Amino acid sequence: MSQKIQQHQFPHFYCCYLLQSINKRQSFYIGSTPNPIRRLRQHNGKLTVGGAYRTKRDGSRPWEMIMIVQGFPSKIAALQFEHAWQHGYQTHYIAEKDRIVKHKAGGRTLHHKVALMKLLLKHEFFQRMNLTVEMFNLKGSQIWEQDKFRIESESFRINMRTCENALEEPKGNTVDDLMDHSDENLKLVEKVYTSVLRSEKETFQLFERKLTEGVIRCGICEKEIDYTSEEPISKPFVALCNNENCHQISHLKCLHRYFIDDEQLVVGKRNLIPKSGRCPGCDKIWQWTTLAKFSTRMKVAYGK
Amino acid sequence: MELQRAQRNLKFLQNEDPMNVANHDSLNSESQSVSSIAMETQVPDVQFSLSSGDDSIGTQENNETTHKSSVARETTKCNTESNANVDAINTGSIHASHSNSLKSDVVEENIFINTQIQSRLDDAEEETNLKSKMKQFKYASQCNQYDNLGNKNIARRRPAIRKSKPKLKSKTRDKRDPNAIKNITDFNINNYKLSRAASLLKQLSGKHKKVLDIIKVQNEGSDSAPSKAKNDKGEGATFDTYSGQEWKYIMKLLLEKFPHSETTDLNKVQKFLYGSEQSSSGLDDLETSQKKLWTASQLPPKLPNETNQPKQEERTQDSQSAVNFLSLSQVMDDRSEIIKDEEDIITSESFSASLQEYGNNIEIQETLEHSFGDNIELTVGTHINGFSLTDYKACKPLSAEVGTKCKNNGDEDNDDISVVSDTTDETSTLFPLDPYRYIFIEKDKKPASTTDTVASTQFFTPNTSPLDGIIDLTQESFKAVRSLISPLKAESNRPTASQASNQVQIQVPATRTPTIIPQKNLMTTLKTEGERTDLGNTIRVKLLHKRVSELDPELVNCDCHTIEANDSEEEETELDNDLFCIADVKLANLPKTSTETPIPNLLAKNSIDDAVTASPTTSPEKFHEIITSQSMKELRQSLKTVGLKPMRTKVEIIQSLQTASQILSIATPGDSDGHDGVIGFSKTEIFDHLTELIQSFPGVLERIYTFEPIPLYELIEKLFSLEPFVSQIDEMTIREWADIQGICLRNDKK
Repeated sequence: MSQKIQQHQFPHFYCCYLLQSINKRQSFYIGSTPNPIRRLRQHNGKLTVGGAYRTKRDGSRPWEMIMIVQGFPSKIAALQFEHAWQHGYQTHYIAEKDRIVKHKAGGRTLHHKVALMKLLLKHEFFQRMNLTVEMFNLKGSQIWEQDKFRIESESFRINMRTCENALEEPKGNTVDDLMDHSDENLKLVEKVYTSVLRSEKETFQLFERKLTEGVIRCGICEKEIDYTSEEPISKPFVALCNNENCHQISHLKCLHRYFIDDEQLVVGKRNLIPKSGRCPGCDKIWQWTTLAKFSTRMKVAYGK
Repeated sequence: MELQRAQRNLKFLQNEDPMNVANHDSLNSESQSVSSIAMETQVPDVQFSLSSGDDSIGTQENNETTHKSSVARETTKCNTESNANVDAINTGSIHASHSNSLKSDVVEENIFINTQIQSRLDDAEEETNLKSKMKQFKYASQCNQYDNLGNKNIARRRPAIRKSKPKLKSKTRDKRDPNAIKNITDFNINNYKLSRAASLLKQLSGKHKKVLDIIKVQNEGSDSAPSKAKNDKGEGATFDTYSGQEWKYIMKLLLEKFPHSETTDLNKVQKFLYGSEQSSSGLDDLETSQKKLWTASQLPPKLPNETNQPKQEERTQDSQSAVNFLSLSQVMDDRSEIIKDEEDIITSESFSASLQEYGNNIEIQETLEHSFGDNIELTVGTHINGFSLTDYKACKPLSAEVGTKCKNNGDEDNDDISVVSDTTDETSTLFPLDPYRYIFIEKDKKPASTTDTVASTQFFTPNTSPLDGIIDLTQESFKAVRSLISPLKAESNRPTASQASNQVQIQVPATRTPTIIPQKNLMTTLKTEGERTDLGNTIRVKLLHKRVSELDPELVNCDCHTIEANDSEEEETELDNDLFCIADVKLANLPKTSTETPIPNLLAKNSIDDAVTASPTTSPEKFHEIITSQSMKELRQSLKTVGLKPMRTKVEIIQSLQTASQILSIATPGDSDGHDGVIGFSKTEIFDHLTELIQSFPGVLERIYTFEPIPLYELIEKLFSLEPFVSQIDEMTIREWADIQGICLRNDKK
């Protein structure tokens, strides 16, 4: 089963997003996509290919992408998040006592949408994924900071980035105003999306270079890793440091055990997936998701 | 005027009769119109006006007579005769019609005809009467048939319906047997006939059951006949004087009504009336046998053993077959007692013998029966072995016999009488008992001298029974009472108690647990106890093993305390060895022996808060006891909180919880202290256990830490292969665990 037809890898980009109708501000839409630009255009009718039934209703277009959550390790995880976000009144990711939306019809404000997202991100399952929230709207950002339902606390903070030039509320009600707003929103999304992809591509290329140098030894178990060879046995999951100067390369497995051991010392409990750890070479703190992300991609790209 | 018209019409009709006869194919009612049409010269309305008039019956009769006159005069005569006969019988059933009476009227008047036979005869009469009245509505051809056959036809029918069911059966058998079953419709028709006869029976007489019983008796013949005969005995006795003539008369009547009935049927009827003994000997022997009976019945009761014997046997048979009847209190009694008493049980044969001896007469029995009757009906009893109350009642003659016997024996044995009076008073408890005893009687065992044994059985009343008054603690569950003894007191009395321990097993009470004293308190209590040495030399405390060892040097320092073995304890659990012991701390200066024995399993009866302080809950036995003490609801709740699959039965739940606790305690030894609770483990432990399990699959682990979605079923399979217990974990629990561990699950089957 591990050798499936389609080798699992971290998607380059997968996000859940919240749309708000520019025309009708009380209308929201929650979806998920690996490509928010394309999807937004579909919602707004600029791309006729692709379904956007719910966002096609009279007077709701154009749509503004308020925020996205990205960094999902798999499509399924993203879909799970999306479903949970849509069904905040019944999802098992939010304990009953914590629910802010009790009924299907409830929670139709931006406050609720934001709070629901926070609640979900508070759950261990999504917390472990080390997701990032990108905010494209100042109003949304305010609401986030306001934290009306007091979900965030000192011990719990979510990575939230408000992009530069985040939009205010639409200036007027004319069609031109709406269209301008929509276009600007799309630009912001594009910017975030491309920037994420670009940074990851750079890291990936760095790793590529490091791996294709030839036979490498695992920094932990000293065994050989050779991504240039043809044999899949010598091409396991590897973990690399993106520090240019750090040449720490190890099996992901070894690093996993290393991280787990460290974590066990701190937490007192041995988990299956560590959250983060320090690079054995350069002491840089690595999120496990990042390591796993590049490791899987590397394996998919070169491992076969 | 009208009369004249009618007469004229009559004449015409008589003249025209041949024509009518020719047209007789049509309905009888139509025939009137036909006749009217035929009589062209007549005024057609006349008849109808007449028929509506007062003389309508007369005209109808006239019509009948006109119809019949041409065909058969004689039969009409018979008809009228029979009608007259019917009238006579209807007015006074005893008085037979003079026309039919062939023999002396004096005899007939005095004869009591069995009501059932009489009713059948009456029914037959009534029906013939009715039919004769209804004749005009019949088809002419049928009318002719009736006219031709007359009563014979009816008589043939009657037995088919009423009486001679067996005859019909035999006939059909005769028909059928040679032919076998040629075709199903025939078979069905034949069957249908039978069922129709039965249904008609039902319809005609409201007493279905009675009729069925009669038929049954007739069919079964001699087997069930005696009982019937017995039922009719009272009647039969009165008939005895006449029976010869009476039977002849009845037979005559029957033959009259049902001329085609056969001798076998008649025999059956006779058997029904007079019982099998006489009927077995045919009609000829009847008179002689009855003379015998008659004379026998007239004889003084002392002499004839022959006559009383059969009755007696019947009684004994009844009692033997009937009485498997116990009151509730007797059921609750020890069975062995009854068996023991079997020796003492006196046979009913003996009673009968005594009856014969003392020349019992029926009157006493009857009065006694009456006197008992009320009491018996009041008795509250459970029906055992399917014997109903009526069965029980069947045994009352027997007890009546006892009574009579006792009265007869009165001069010999006064005790008996007193006992009998008791029995009448306390029938509610006593009565069922005695008959029950008699069941065990066998005919072979005929005790020669019965009076003593009678007395002994009579003495056995529930109140006087030697065992009843005593609550036997060795056999019943009253041990709890003994276990309430204070441990301290028991300890102070220990030397004697240990000596007596061979006889009485003192259960270690649950009440000892409150004596568990934390270490800090122990010293203070010891001191206080030490001051009061008069209470006893020792106190018993339950301690953690560790603490005892900690305590020991202190005791030595104090120099007045030693820890002594607690050797009176018998139940030991090795599992508790390490954790607890019971120490007897001696307060006086006694030889220093410091041995310890583990305590028995006490926590079963502990309340939960006790359990928390008393011990960790890792011991499976304790755990089991805690679990089993819980209600179903609590168990379900705990099953849910722990996250195991819901189970149906308590046993399953307990089993599941037990295995879970065992596995988890093995997996995480010594870690169970922190849990609140009753069960000793929680969901988190299951989670931890699963986490450990999955780490033995490097492949799966790799997939997990690379965030690859894993099908749930695959994950469960993997876990199950390593640990079958996983199958008992609820799927939701596994999902929850996966969420917490960051395992991404997918639902797809592939």
